[in-house]
Amino acid sequence: MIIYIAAVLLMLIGLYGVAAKHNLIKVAIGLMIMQYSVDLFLIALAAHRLSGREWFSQLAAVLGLSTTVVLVAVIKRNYDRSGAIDITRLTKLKG
Amino acid sequence: MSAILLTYIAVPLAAAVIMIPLNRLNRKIADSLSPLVALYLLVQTVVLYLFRPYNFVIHYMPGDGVFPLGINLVLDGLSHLLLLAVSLVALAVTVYAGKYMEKYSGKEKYYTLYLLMLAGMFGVILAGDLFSLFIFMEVAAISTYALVAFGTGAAELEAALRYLIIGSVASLLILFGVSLTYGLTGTFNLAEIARTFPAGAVYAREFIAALFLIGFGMKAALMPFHGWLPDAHTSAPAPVSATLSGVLIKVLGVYVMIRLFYNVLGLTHQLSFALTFLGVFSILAGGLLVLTQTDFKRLLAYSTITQIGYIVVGVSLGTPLGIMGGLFHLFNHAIFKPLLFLNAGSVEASAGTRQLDELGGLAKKMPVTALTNLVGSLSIAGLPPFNGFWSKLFIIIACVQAGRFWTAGAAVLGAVMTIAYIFRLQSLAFGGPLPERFNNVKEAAWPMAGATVFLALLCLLAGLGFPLVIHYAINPAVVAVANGVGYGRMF
Repeated sequence: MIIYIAAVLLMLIGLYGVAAKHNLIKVAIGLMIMQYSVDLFLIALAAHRLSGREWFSQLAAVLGLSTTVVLVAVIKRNYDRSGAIDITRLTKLKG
Repeated sequence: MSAILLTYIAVPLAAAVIMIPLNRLNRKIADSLSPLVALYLLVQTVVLYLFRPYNFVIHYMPGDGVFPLGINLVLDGLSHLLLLAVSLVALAVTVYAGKYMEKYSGKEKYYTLYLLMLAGMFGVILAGDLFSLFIFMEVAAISTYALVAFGTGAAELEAALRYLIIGSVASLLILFGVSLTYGLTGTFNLAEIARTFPAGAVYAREFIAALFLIGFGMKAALMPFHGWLPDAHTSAPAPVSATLSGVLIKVLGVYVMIRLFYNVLGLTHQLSFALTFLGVFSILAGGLLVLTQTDFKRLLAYSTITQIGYIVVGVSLGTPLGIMGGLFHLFNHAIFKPLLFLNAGSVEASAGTRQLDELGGLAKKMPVTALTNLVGSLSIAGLPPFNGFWSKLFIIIACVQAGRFWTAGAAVLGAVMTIAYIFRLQSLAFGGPLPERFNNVKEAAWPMAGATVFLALLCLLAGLGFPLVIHYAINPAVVAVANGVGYGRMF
């Protein structure tokens, strides 16, 4: 049981990072923490009967990694262009 | 025979893989490869309509079920409708992009990403299990993040960042919901989940539904979750905006929501109410935000939010007429919104600006674009005999029939706002006197104009022949949705 609570806590920590931090690198780290929490949750299901779980958790981790790669690439590109790593300085668009 | 479903994923994937080497060998063939892929898939979709009797489900299971995860591909009425919409839009957009994307460097990379996105969308539509659904959703989403940033200007990168962060959070919430479902039922197979979801786990079901509602609501850009959409649609190249608005948010958001809420988890009263609320909120708040926009593409992007609201309101009523209206509007919106976005791209390419207060009088110089844009405007405004009229009418009648008079009132108000903003757009861009500086403006090149004429004709045909469209394409989808959790016993 404790591992499920840990997974949910970890997810909330990651969500806090994404929602409250202004530094883009910290936002990316928050997203990664969220990703790990879901991976942990999937692995924790291993205590049960489930087959095929390891396939799914591996593929989900790979997809999370590729999202992170694209995210970091865009952050780097954006930094090169505008010199901004602070999300509050991105004001070209109105949302 | 049922293995033919694999071609929807394999053909665009294969084309994406060979695109860059092929471009080195022969640029002409590489340019025509993606329109050919789209044309092939469109023809195959239409032919499959002849082979698939009214309510027949084509079901493909690799390795006859020995695969441990219950991975399978399913083609029923609902997925067939989406296949038709995606392949129609893909054909028009790829033909258009051949000319439009010439101003960007690395066109072959654009094609590769676009084909990957197509493969992802077809995979989501056909997936019969949460495992492949999630993976194809991520394939489509990751290629879209890159496509939004394709211009690599400051605005594009900022829009892509916002889309990436919101999209990733949405994906993770969905992944959490998928894991919970898997933990409860021990399977990824949608049909098996529909059959075996423990009836006692009421709270778990509601929690999963809430996770999916937020996750897919973000992907569909329903109103409180819409933050990424206006930026992404405005900043992406026109063919990408057309695909994003026309089909991507519907496939990744609306379609998956319909599939999971109706066919897998079962639509509860609360869920139906929540969906109606989000839909009405999107119609009204989105409609108010559109009225103040001064950028051609940004106006269309906000209008997408209101039209998605209509689709969700129609489907969430749960009555057959409401579902029909919602799905018909989904199909219609997949035709007229790409048309309007492609016209925005043509105007930008020819006149050099998208700002409505700088444009004007272009009807004299760009008659084809002005005319197709008028057709698109009449369709989205819901004036007869164009297709948008019928779907909005069905949705409003369905609201009244279901006794939801406030919802019907909101839908009528939204329709009036649509007329207001779309004719403001039409008159500001194409009406009035021609300014001096636009004297040298030329009509868009023929592949671009041809693609918009194709979509405009479809608007007119779907409006005039709406009983046929409803009979052959919409009604089978309505049957599949209204079947509810009976989905689990279909095959």
